Formats: sequence, C-alpha cells, structure tokens
Amino acid sequence: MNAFELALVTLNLVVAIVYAAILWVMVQQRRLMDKQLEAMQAQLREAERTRMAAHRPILRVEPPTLVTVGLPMPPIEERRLRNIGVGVALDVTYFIHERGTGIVWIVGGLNPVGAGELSQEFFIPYPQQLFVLNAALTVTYADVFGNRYWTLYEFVTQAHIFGEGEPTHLQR
Amino acid sequence: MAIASERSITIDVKPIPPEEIVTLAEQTWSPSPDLNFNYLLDWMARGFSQVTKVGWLTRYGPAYGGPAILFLLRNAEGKELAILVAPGEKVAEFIRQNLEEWKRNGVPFERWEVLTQTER
Repeated sequence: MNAFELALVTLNLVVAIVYAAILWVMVQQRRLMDKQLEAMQAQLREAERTRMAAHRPILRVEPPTLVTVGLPMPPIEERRLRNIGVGVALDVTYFIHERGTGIVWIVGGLNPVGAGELSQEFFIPYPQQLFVLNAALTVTYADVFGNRYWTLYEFVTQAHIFGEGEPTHLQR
Repeated sequence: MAIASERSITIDVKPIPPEEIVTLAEQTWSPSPDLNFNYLLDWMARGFSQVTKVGWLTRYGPAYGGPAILFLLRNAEGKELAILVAPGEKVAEFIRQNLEEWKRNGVPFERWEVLTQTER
C-alpha cells in the first residue's frame, strides 16, 4: 500500500467515524426526545385524571323513607340518591333488577344531581318484593365530560359497589 | 333502616273508573312515553302473567318523577312484581285491549294521589 492509498483509507475511516458520531448523536437526541415526550404524555394524563377527579360525581343510595298508605296496602318506599362526589351527575338513570341475572323490571330517569345534593324522589311501590326477588338497584350517570359511572346497591346487604364505564351486570 | 324525612308524604288511594286510566295514559304527556312497557311485556312472558292491580300514580314515576301507571303482576308461585310504566299510546292500547278481561277478574283500578308536605 503506497502513501496515496493509505491516505484514502485513512480519509474513509475518518469520514466513517464522523458519520458514526453524527448518527450516535442523532440517536441519543431521539432517545432524549422520546423520554421528554413520554414525560409530557404522563403529565397530560395526570392533568386529565386531576381534571376528571375534580368533576367526579358519586351517587350513593340513601336509606328509604317509608310512606304509609293505610291498610291493607303495604308501605311504599321512597328512595333518593345523594351525590357524595365533587361534580354534577348528569344523565341519571336507575334500574331495579334481579341481582344475579341483571334482568331489569323498572328503569327510570332522574334530573341531574349537583355535588352534595339529593336527587329527586322515586318510588318502589311494593318494597317487600325486593327481598323476594333478590333485587338490586343500579344507577348510571355521567360527569360534565361525558365519562360514565355506575353505582350498584344491594337491598339485602345495603352494600354499594362503584364503577366506571357502562355496567356489565345488567341485561337491557 | 328507614330515615325520618322533613317532608310528610301521604298517598291517597281511591278507586278510579278503568276508562279514566286509559284516557289519562293516552292524554298525559311524558318525556319518555311507554317507558318500561317492554319490560312489562317481558315479565308477563316470563310467567308473571296475572294482572292483580292497575293504578294511576300521580307523581314519582319512572320518567323524571312524572305520573305512571302501576301494574301489579303475579306468577303461578304467588310471587308479585310491581312495574311502573310511563304514560303513552302503547300502554293505553294495552289497557284498552285487556280491560274487559280484567274487569271480569275483579282487578281493582286505583288512583294513587301523592301528597307531599314540608314539615319545616
């Protein structure tokens, strides 16, 4: 190898090293940008969660008020919901259904419920049926952004289960 | 457990001519007409086929607290099920079609007048 060829090879090597260095820097920058993007997306998700949490309604079923009708009629239960969340509950719909099967027999709509407020009343005319038919009450509602939530209330145990999205335990 | 309410609610139950329930069901506006009517038919098909009472509830019905028609159903085992249907043409037609049979069976027709009074 003469001096000219050696110079060419050396030049090629230098150029290759420079290209590799440029590529390495670009890859590092890309990685850095990806990390920054991920961090920004996480911040956005957190901000969205905070925004949603600041408007999250939670409807709880209040104990019933018994309305005496007079013999031989059994008493009627008047039910109301309380919004124990921090945002208004919109598109409030209640379902009285069998607990196990999710088969509905009464569906009803209620006016929006503000945070901390009680809903309008709804009646359960023959409340003794609730135990005979193993009944439960599911309420579905939405926040101001259109996110859906639900509350399942079991009459026998008086237990509440809260969920997000559409309830899957109902047969409509 | 029941709670005491600041409001006093009473229901005044009186007999009502069956034809009046048909008229009320037809002529009363509802934001969700015939709401629950399909559930009524479904449960009748599931064995709760005997109608033992028909009532006109003046308030607190399923459609945003408006009036409703109450049907008390019974199955062969004697289990009872009450369904509240919002007024509408379908339910009015359903009552009209079955009116004579229900009258023959002695089904009571009642008007449930809901009276609310705030105590404080």
